[in-house]
Amino acid sequence: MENINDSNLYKAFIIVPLVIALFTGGVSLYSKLSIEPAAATLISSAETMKQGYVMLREPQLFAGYRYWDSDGTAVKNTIRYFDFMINSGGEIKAEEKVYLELLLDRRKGGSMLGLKTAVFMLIISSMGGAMLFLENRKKDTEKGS
Amino acid sequence: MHKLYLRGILLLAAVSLITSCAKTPERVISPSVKAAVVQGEDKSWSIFFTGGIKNENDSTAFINIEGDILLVNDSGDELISIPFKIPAILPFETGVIKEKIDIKGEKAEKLFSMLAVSPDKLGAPDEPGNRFLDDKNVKLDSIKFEKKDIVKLLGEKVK
Repeated sequence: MENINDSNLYKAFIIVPLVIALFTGGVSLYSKLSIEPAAATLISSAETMKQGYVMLREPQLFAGYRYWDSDGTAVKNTIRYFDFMINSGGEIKAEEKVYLELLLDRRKGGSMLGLKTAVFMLIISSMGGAMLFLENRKKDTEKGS
Repeated sequence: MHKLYLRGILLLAAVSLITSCAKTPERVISPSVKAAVVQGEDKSWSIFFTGGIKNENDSTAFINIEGDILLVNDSGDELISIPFKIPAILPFETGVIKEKIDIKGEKAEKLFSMLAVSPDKLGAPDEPGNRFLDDKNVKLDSIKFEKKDIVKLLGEKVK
């Protein structure tokens, strides 16, 4: 029976998920460690709420503003309201902070999803690594005998 | 193998480009007209057009929108052209068009025929002159606008 060389397949199983993990993990970590704390600080003060909103208006990779489920309706309406208000030269009131927190929570949810995706991809990549290791060991055993 | 990778990358780039392009408005929402007699002028009427243009994008604002609304009959013949301007339509918003033009003569005759309006009875209680238009009778023509990323637009306002 012909021996099938699965090494290239296992290498693909290692490399592709690893690349995806690095990308999604990197983007999500950047959001978690840099953007989210900065946005939280900006929206906590009445003087910098507008800057905080503009920062949060740029969506996170996994928490975009294009597709909406029922939970996203409040976020969509928030965006419509604040886009119009800031474009018209208005100010964000202190009591409206709760709506900015909706956007921050959406971003946090997105970055957490990205991190979990990265972990999942790392697990797949590790499985590929384990399979490649076993394949090579099997080949070495066969060569030895 | 190398060619396959290249094709894959090109395909991915093409898909990304297409999906990231801003959606251009192609139709007018809820178009309607109201016809009224021009006071002091014989056989002259004002047509008040109302409609909306929706911005379906999430991050692109349309600025300085200009264009023409064409009213056509069921055969597709152009009846009148109504120019319009809207300063800006933000993401998820609908820009409102409210324009008025005066018409007379053959143009008016053809338009009233399409709308099934009796011009002689305009202003009477049984003929207020309001009509909702079908999509097939309204075309958005020669629309021009600038696109601007909403984050950049708002960033300029906040500075």
